[in-house]
Amino acid sequence: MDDALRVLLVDDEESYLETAAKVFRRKGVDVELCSIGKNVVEILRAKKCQVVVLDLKMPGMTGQEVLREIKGSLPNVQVIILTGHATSDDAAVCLTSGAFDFLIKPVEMSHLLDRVNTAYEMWKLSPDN
Amino acid sequence: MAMLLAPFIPVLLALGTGGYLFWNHAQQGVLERLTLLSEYNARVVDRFLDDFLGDLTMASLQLSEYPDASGFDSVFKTLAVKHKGLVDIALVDSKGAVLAYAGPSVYKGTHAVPGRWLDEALERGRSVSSVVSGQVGFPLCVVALRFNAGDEIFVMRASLDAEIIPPLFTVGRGEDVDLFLVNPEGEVIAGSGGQVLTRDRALVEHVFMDRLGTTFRDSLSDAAYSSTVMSHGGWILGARKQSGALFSVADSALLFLGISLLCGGIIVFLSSLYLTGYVEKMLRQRDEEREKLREQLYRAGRLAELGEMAAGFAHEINNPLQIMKSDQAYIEMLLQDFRARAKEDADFLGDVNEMAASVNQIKLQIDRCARITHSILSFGRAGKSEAQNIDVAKFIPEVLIMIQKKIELSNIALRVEIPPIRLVVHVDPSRLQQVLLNLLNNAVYAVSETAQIRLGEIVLACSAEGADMVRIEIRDNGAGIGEEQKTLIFTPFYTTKPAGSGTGLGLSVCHGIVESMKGVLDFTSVKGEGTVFYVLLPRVPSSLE
Repeated sequence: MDDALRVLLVDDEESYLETAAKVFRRKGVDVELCSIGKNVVEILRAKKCQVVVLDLKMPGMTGQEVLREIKGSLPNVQVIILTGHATSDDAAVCLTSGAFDFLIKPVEMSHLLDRVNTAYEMWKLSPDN
Repeated sequence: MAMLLAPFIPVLLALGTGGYLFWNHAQQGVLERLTLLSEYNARVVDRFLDDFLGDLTMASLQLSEYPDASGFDSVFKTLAVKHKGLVDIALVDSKGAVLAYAGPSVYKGTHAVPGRWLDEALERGRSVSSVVSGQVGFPLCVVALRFNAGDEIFVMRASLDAEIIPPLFTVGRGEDVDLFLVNPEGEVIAGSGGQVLTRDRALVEHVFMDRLGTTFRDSLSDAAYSSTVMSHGGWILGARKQSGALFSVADSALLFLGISLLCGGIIVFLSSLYLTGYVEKMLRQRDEEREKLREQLYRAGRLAELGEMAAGFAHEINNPLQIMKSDQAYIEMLLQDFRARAKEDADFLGDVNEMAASVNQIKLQIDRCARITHSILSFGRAGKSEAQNIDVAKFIPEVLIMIQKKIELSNIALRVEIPPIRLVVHVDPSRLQQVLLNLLNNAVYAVSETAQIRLGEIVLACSAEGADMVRIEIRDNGAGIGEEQKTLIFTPFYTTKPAGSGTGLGLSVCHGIVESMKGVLDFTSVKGEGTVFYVLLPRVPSSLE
């Protein structure tokens, strides 16, 4: 099984996705992009991503719903919430639903990469891998 | 003013009723006394006349045995001894012809003064008739008695000086009552005041004659009257008391009432003055409190609205900020590549470094925006706090540790006033810490503005506010807050600090936090003298700690 870090960036802001992807790829991280919440699990299964960077406020399926779906079908996948609409209630709900971290936009890309790498380490520790 | 006068109404009513009842009672007493006097004196005069008639009867018995002139003289003398007022006596026959006469006048002949007395005496056996002006010049009262001697009918006629009646009258000492004897025609026969046979109507009013036998008060003549009809001659004994005298009875009562009214009035006035002032003060205080509350509510409402709006903005701005952030990160990566490529080209390297500096500036400004949006978000943050019981006396020193260095370096004197009582509040310590640090920072800033004028001083004090609140206040002797600033101070983005050094969110965030703790954050300030910011938090009763 290919265990190299592969990250799925989920956000309805296409321009963010594009730039963030470039930054990630330049750092040698494989990136998949998705702007529609309900496609997330499907992509995760197909591309075998270990870490998801997930926005909360999206049209259609919200981040919380996506998070629950991920944790329901692929519990090992680590989810980092990155949102501009942050309240402590949201953070509490997401963290108790199994999110690995909760970051508030705007965040340093270097910091985001750090957290992604830590999440990846976490994924490696999970018993199924 | 109406409020001051209103209490007088019951006092006046009570005193007025009391006064009226007393007046009535006094008047009733006077009227009863008058009745008594008139009845008593009527009886006295009746008895006197009975007595005189009795004596005349005795004399007539004597005369019927010796009907001659010499006998008549001795009869007169005997009678005159007993009755000093006896003027004369005459013996007449049934026709009125004088048979014998004894008295001061030298009277001979057959002529007698005819009159009703003769008819009455012949008809009823006796007659007491009204006063006539006698031949001797003074008023006389004629008493006639019929008697029989054998088959002949005689009438003995005696004249009495009317002046002998007034001395018979009895009036209590000091009683200002006029008594008078009146004949059925309304002429005064005798009066205690010396009035005799006068038709002076002022003495006896029409109303007196209209209401014979009763006791009444005549408001027209302002006098009280009582009359008793006597058994002799249809005479009337009247008693009169002027109302002026009646007043004298009530004088002391009136004086007492007046003094009561005055004293009661003063007491009522003073107490109502005090009460009115008190009520007015209470009302004003209530109004002020209501106004303050209204202002607080308005401010809270406006702040909440603004906070919500600001939070919405912050959320929307965070997304583009993230895009900028990632683009900036990407540009930095590219610049890294450029730098490697420009190793030999100094000009190019210079350009690349200039661009890097510019991008860095962009990064700084993005961070500045991020600070603002994050402050706003913490401002709008609701619920889910880790509230716990905190002993304020222990908590404050912990907070101070974080800022003590800064205060000392700024050359500011810091004083802490903590009372030796347990003051416990139930709040999230990190949030309370945020509030206190914010307020302390503001105090340091305010004091630093006046550092050249005076030594800065900051006091952090806590105390119990009433029974159920804890007050934590931060006093500074800094620049103070201007009137126009006072209304804006809790408004988001309002700042007096130079651009870039404050977001203008600190106090509005603190306000939101304290409000979520069910507390109050407010201040008092005098421009140029200093400011006191205080936090009121619900106190945990020692029984629930």
